[in-house]
Amino acid sequence: MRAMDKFAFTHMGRIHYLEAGSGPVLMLMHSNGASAHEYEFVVDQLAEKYRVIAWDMPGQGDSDNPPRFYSAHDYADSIVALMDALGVAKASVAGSSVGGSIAIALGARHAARMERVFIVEYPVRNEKVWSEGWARTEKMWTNTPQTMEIVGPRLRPGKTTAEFLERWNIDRNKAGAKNCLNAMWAMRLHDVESDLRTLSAPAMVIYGSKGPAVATKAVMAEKLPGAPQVVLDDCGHFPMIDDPQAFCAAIDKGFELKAQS
Amino acid sequence: MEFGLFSNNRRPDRSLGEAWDRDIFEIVAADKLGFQEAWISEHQTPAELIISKAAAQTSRIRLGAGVRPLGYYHPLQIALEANAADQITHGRYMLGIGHGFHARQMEWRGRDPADTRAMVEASARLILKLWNSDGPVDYDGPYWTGKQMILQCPPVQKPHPPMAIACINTLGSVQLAGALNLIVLTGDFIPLARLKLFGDTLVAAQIAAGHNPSRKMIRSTRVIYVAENDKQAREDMRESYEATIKWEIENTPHHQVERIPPGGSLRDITYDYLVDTGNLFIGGPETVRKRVEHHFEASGGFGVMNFHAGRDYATPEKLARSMKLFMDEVAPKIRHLDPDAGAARAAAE
Repeated sequence: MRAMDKFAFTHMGRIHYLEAGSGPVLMLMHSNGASAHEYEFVVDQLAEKYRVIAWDMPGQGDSDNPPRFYSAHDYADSIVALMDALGVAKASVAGSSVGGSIAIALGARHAARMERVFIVEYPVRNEKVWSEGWARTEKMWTNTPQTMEIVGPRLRPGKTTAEFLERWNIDRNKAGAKNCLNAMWAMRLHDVESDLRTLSAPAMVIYGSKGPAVATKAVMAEKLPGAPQVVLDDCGHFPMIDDPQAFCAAIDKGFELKAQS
Repeated sequence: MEFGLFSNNRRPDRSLGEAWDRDIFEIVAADKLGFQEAWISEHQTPAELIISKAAAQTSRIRLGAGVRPLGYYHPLQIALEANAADQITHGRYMLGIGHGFHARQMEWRGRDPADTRAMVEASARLILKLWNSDGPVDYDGPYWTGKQMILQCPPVQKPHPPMAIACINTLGSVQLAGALNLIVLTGDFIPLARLKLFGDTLVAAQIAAGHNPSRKMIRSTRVIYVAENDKQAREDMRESYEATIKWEIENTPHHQVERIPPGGSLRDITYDYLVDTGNLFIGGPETVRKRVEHHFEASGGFGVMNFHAGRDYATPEKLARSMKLFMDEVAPKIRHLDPDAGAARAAAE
C-alpha cells in the first residue's frame, strides 16, 4: 500500500499530509523537527485497519509556516481544521513528543471531536525542569543537522542508516531552528496539568522503555487516572521506528477502548 | 449563471483582524474554485482595505465594494479610490454604491439622513461623469462642489470599473440602476416576490433609458451550504444559524418581517422553518440544486448567485468544503441558466 501525499487548504495555512487506508480515522502527529515520514514504518500496517492521516505540523515538513507563534492549542486547532477540510467529523489521534502535547490539547479543547487519544513519549515536565534544561534544548534545536553520533544512540542499533540520517536531517532542515524551538516553547508553555484534568476522551499513554518520557510515568498516571499506560520494551523516544510491530499492536489495543460517544 | 460571494462581515466573537482574515480565507477559497466575484461590505471601514489584502492572495476573482455609502464621502474621493483599487487588483475591482446601514452614520458626519437618497443619486451621476470625462470637471451641487476636478489615478478597466447599487426595499435604487445601467445587488433577506419585482422594474428602466435590457445585471444572495447529505448540512449549520436568527430578530427585525410564517410572529422564525421552506439553501447537492433552480425560475432570473458569507456559519474548512461541493456537483447542472434566454426567444419569434 502506498500512502498518498496531499495538501489540505485550511484557514491556518496549507497542511501537507500522507493518507492511506480506510476505516476509523487515525491522525498521526510526529515529534519535533520531523514530518509524517516519522510514521513511514507503521503506515502500511495501520492502514490495513484504519484511515491513516499523518500530517506535517505547521512550520514543519511541507506544511506552511505559522503566521505567528503557535501554542499547543493552536496546533490542536490546526488538526481540527485539517479534519474539517477532509470532512472528518471524529477521529482518534496519536501524537508523539510535541505531538503528544498536541494530543493532550486536542483531548481537552476538542474532546467532542476525539474518539481516542494516544499520548506517545510525552514527558510531563514542570517549569523548573524545563527551565533548568533549556540551554540543552536550545542547543539541540538550533543546530539543526545532526550527525550519526548524535542520532544513532537515540534509536535501536541498526536503525540509523545513512539513508535514515539523510531523511532525518532533511526534515530538521525543512523545519529549521526557529520553528523547532518554537515547537519546544509550545510544549514548555502548555498548561498540561489543566488540559489533563479536562481531557475526557478515552486515552492511552505509550512509552519506550529507554525513552525520556517513561521517567514521568507515575506523574502521568496520577494526572490521567484510568488511562492504560503501555511501555514498549527496548524502544527509545521513537517507538514507531524502533519497533513498528509493537507500536501498531499498542495502537490496536488502544482501539479496543470504547470510543467516546 | 455565474457564482459569487457577498462577504457581509459579522463575526461578533472575533477581533476584526481575525474576522477579516476569515473573510479573506473564504474569498481565496472561492477564487480557487472559480467563483466569478466577491462583494465585500463596508461596515466599519472602506471595503477597499480588505479588497487590497484579498487581491494579494487571489488571482482571478473580481472584487467589489458592497457597498460604499455615497453620502459619507466626496464623489471625487470615491472615484479616485475606485481607480486605485482597480489598479491594485489589476482590473478586478467593482464599485458597489448604496445608502449606508444606519441613519446615525450620516449624522456622525454632519449630514442629514433625509438627504441620503438624493446624495446617492447625485454622487453616482458625478462619479460616472468623472469617469467618462476627457477633461477637468466643474461641479456645483447642493451637497458637494468641485473645481477643475480630475482623476489623477486612472482605472485599469475601460472606460471604468463596473458600478453596482444595493437594492433593499424601495424601487428607487432599482430604477436608478436601470437608468445608469448599474448592477443590482440584493441581500440574503430579500423575499422572492420582491426580487421578481426588482427584475421587472430593472428591465423596464433599462429599456426606458435605451440600455440593453438584461437580468444578468442582478445579483441574488442567499445563505447556501452544501454537505454530503441533507441531514449533515442541516446539523452543520444549526448552532450558528440559530444564533444568527436570534441576533437578526433583535437587531434587524425590519428585514425579518417577510420571513414570518403565516399567522405567526417573529418568534416563529426558526432555523428548521427557514431550511424547510427554502429560505436558506441548506442541504445535500441535489436539494441545493433544486433550491437554486426554483429561486431562479420564480424570481425571473438573475446573473449571479451569491453565497452569503463573512459569517461563522460553520468552520472555515467546512464552508470551503461546501463551496467545493457546490462547484463540483451543483454548479455544472445550473450554470447554463440564462435569465435573458426567454426574452431572446420571444424577440426571435
